[in-house]
Amino acid sequence: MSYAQAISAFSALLLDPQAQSAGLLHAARMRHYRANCRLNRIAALQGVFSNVAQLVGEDFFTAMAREYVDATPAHAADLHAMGADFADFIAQFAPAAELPYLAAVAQVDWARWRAYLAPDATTLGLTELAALAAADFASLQLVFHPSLQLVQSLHWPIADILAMHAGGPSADLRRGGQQLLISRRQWQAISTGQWALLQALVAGETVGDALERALQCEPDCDIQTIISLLFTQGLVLRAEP
Amino acid sequence: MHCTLPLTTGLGLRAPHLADVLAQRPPVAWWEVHSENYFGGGEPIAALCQLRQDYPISLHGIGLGLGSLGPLDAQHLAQLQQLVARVEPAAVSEHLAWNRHAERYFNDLLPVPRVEGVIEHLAERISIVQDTLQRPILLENVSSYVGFADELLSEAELMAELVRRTGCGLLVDLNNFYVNALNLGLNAEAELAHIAGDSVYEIHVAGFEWFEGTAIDTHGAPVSTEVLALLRQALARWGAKPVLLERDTNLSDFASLYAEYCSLDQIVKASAGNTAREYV
Repeated sequence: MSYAQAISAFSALLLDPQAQSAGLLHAARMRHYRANCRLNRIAALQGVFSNVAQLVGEDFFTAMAREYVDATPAHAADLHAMGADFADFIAQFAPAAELPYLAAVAQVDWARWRAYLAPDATTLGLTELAALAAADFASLQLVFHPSLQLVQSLHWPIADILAMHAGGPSADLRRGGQQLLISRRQWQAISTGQWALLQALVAGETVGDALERALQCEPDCDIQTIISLLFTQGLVLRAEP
Repeated sequence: MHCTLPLTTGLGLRAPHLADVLAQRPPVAWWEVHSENYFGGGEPIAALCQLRQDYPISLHGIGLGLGSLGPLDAQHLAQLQQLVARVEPAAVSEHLAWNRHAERYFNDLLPVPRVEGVIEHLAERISIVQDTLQRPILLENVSSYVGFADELLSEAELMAELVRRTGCGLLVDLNNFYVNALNLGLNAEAELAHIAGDSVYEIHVAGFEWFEGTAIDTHGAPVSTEVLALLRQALARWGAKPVLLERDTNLSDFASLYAEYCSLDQIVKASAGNTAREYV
């Protein structure tokens, strides 16, 4: 048996206990490898989706994560890179239907995790910032820090739910969707106009075009606050003409 | 060899203890961390760089999958390369294991079948990693719960051959050899006899637990007396080496782990006569 054949046989047995155990000794012990792979992935999900885990409790989370892991092949060796579609899985996971906003919380957990582990990057310095003021600001395109994440829930007041979860006032679940701006330092609710502005900027539109979109979407949108927040929180890497 | 770990006891550093360690700066001789936990930016890598100013750091990879078929995971290797460049660690190590088949990853350290073609396959990939990182790596033996019929050589013999072919160094995990002895009937002492002392740049010890009649390398229990006996033998045979205490599961508070580190350090110092010998 060649090396490639042996690895293929090993892999087949990992995926299917009924597969041919050609050349493998103690093949019944494959169950330990299956268990290790599953447990390693479940533990990683527990670390990433901490708000989801707290909302549903450890037993429920483990059972849900186990079903997700079994249904979703791992596509990376780095356990921290897995879970991008866990929110989608939760949205259609029938036992979680009692907590209909759980998938939205998972989306936030994932975005916060991406922000936490995003690559480091040098943000725009004060001198460069001062030079910008003189330039034609409307014609610039902004390049953002990789930790900037935008999350929108169309149905659930996700910012109020997170605040409630953190010990704040009870959220009114009927008030509809909300948007969040997430960075390494913090998360905060943003309006629909601010959301439209940031979406447009992230997509590479000029500041002028993005402002137009924001005001179309929300005529009295607070533009100044969100623009100054981007710069004061060090979320802008470059402004390009 | 590009390995400058002190010839004394080090400790595996895990996320739950990071804050305590940063605040207290305990007198641990060196730390080993899992490379993958420091891929990316932000807090984790900033904390590691801070520790790096005061302690030697060993980067220990668990996900490169040297034995997987097909080309190495280019993204994973690039991330490792960036990390090594940023941390400038005292040692870089990886496992003699595979973790991917047909684009599907298995998140565990799977033993390589030591059948025809294994030496060439691993030698090629170890050389690629060493060329990319511009430094030799240390190769570690793994725990095995299964075996293959008609294997050509033992794991220690394979490691020795890979040292000859690639110039890599060895990280000898005594608990893994012992677990394999329990599960597969190998002779751990005979395995150690295949390894030349001057190819060993680090030793690992850890604890295992029994599950359904199989000894599982959980790193979740104190080091067994049998593994400590192997450690005394290895140090007597090879002289002083960097010895790492690994603990990954059933983690207690840092004070308890530190107490275990201190008692291991006593054994290491007594066994190796605490001689300070420089690497070449």
